[in-house]
Amino acid sequence: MSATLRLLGGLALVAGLAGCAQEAAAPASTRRVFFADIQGQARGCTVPRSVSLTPGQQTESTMTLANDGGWCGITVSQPGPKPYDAGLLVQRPQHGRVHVRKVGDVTRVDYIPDARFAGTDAFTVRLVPGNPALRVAVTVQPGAASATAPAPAATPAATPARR
Amino acid sequence: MSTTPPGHGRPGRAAALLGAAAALSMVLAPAAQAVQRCGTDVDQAVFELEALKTELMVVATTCKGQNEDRYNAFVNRYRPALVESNRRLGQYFSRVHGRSGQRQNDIFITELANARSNQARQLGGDYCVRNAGLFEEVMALPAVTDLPAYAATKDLLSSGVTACPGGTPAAAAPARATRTRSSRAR
Repeated sequence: MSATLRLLGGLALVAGLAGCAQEAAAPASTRRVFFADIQGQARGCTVPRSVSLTPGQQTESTMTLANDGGWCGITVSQPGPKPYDAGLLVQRPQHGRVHVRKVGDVTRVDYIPDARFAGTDAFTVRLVPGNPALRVAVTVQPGAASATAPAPAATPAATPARR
Repeated sequence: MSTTPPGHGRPGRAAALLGAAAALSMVLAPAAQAVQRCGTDVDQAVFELEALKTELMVVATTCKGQNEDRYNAFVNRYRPALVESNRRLGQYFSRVHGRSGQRQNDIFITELANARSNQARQLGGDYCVRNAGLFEEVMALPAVTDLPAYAATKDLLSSGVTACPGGTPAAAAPARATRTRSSRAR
């Protein structure tokens, strides 16, 4: 009898602890963040802390970075948070590359300036699902990858294509 | 740059050496390498799509398992776009290299596959877990016609191989390329 009671008590204790554990645990993400996706950020990368996108609408944002060959990225996400399924490049930058990738629970929209470029640039991506668009106005400051050729020829060249 | 370290008897030479070292470090820094782009967006899109196709093929052959079926599903869904892109790639090499176009095309395809395989090796154990996600992304595109715009966001031509080899690079002549695009946009 007493052995049965001890067993029941033990089970109740285990069940109680399990309940506590479930309450204490935050909803942990199962999406991994890979080292390859977080290394190589450009010096002086300055972007808005939070960019909220609206389905079907375009959001404007800004980005400033030093051209040392690294990337500068704006993070966006769906509610949850969870990353978007994919990105589409709607408007190409004139003086750099765009890389849209999932980084854990968010989608990061990266811009990598061309070597030796300093000045202004812009690009637009659309995200799936929901079709929100993100237009980014970029300011690239001289850095290690632009030091060999200061900017005069390239600086004003980013704007004409948008007319 | 013009300041001379104290205790050096030949300031001119020291400054020159420092300058040379600084210049060399800029040249050697991987971050300073230019990434060549095509002179036109149409050609650029062709090379980006080829790079995406190759990347997915490398994922399938390296990671195997379900990824081989996923690669087949990708090819089946986007077959018309892939066939058209492949035709345009051949036209590019014929246009730029004339009679040796086919050979240059073959060389490019080989170098592209090698570049993506090297990238896979660099990522090591993370490669399959990370890059197999590309199949989910590409199959989530709403329309088949979205494929080139998706490929343009993957930055797959930045290491080991360049877009439009042998052609007029846009990145090497930014001012001229910008004028061309501007005039087209007007």
